[in-house]
Amino acid sequence: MFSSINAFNSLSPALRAAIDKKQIAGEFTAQVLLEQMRALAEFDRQNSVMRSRLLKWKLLAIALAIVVLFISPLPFFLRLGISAVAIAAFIYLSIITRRLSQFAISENFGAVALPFIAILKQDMQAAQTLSIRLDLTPAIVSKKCIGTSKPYERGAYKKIVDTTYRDPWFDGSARLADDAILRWRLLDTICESKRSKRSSSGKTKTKLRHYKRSLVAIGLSLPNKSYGVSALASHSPQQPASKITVQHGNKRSDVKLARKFKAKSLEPIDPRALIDVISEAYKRATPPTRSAA
Amino acid sequence: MSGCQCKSGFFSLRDCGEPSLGQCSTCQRAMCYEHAAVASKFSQCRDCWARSEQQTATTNPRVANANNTYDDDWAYSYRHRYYDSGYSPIYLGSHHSTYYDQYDTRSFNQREGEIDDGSDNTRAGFNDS
Repeated sequence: MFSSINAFNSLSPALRAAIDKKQIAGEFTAQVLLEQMRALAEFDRQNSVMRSRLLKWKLLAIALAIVVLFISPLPFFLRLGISAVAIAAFIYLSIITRRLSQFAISENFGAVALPFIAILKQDMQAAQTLSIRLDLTPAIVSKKCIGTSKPYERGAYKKIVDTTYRDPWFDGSARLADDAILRWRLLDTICESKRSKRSSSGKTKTKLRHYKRSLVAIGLSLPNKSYGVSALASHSPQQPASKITVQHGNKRSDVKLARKFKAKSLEPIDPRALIDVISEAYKRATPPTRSAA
Repeated sequence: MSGCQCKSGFFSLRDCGEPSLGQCSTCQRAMCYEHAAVASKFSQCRDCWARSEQQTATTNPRVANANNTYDDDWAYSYRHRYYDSGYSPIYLGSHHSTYYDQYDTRSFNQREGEIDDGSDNTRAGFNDS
């Protein structure tokens, strides 16, 4: 039960600070960052397993209290005693669960950021550093709320309240081995729709729906001595359309790309979405012009 | 090329050039410590291991990495599947090899002896002459 708390205490001071602040920010080599992220992902996995175990024990404790108190043929005082112990165990487990929940980190971390950095490492020299800001808090928290609609009515739903959250959770920049400079930004906008309707039996039922819009924006600055940049669109029919701008400078050409994704759940986006946007920028690279080469 | 013959990178490929420590048992290329696949007990290069790996035939990184380590073996395996799904990486090195031709690698540098015919064919493989 205490393994997660012990695991937290055994983390490096930098990782403990990251969990406390719910943020990883700074400049790291890819290798150092990955080692930290892997340790954090492993801690989060253990923490998640422990919380689900505790939930089972909590349910068991409350079930035991109810069964012993109301169904068991044992003497009254014995039933009362066992139930009191079970309820005490339930409260204790709830406190532990609450403590462990404070260590919980956003799913985006392990599902998107970690594989992305592992890929990005391949395009960096060992000594090159990348600068990141990675928010570890979940998207649905009060500080990320940007507005709540007035209750309105639609169809069978007599009361709908939409709450919008804005979560700019991951951005960073890196100079790559080919001397390109990559900047990226991931922003989730989530609409939590609370819908209430009255059933035929007169009961009010409430549903919670989530709609997520993810913006993946990157900027790729390519050195003219190694690359030219085509302004023509190389649009793939399988991929959603991207907003793209190309700027040519004396030493570098910048490709900026932004793509939006829609989802009806809070699931993290596929990390391939971010990789695809960067590769789309690279698809515009052409051989350098003769004057620049 | 006397050093490691494997190529580093994901969006663009470059020569490794580190001193080689052995030879890949599959492709016979010289490979350095960094390019030897840990999962093959350092007998194969990471490229060959990725190509021979059959169990994780998916391009979804989350599905392909059940143990959450996202190590270099995983990255090379993912790179292989990503290239197979249609991305043609850019090669910026100067040591051409036919090994990567299957990915339709875009090479920007001319090889020795090649004549610029003025064509715009930049998607040719290394030995696609």
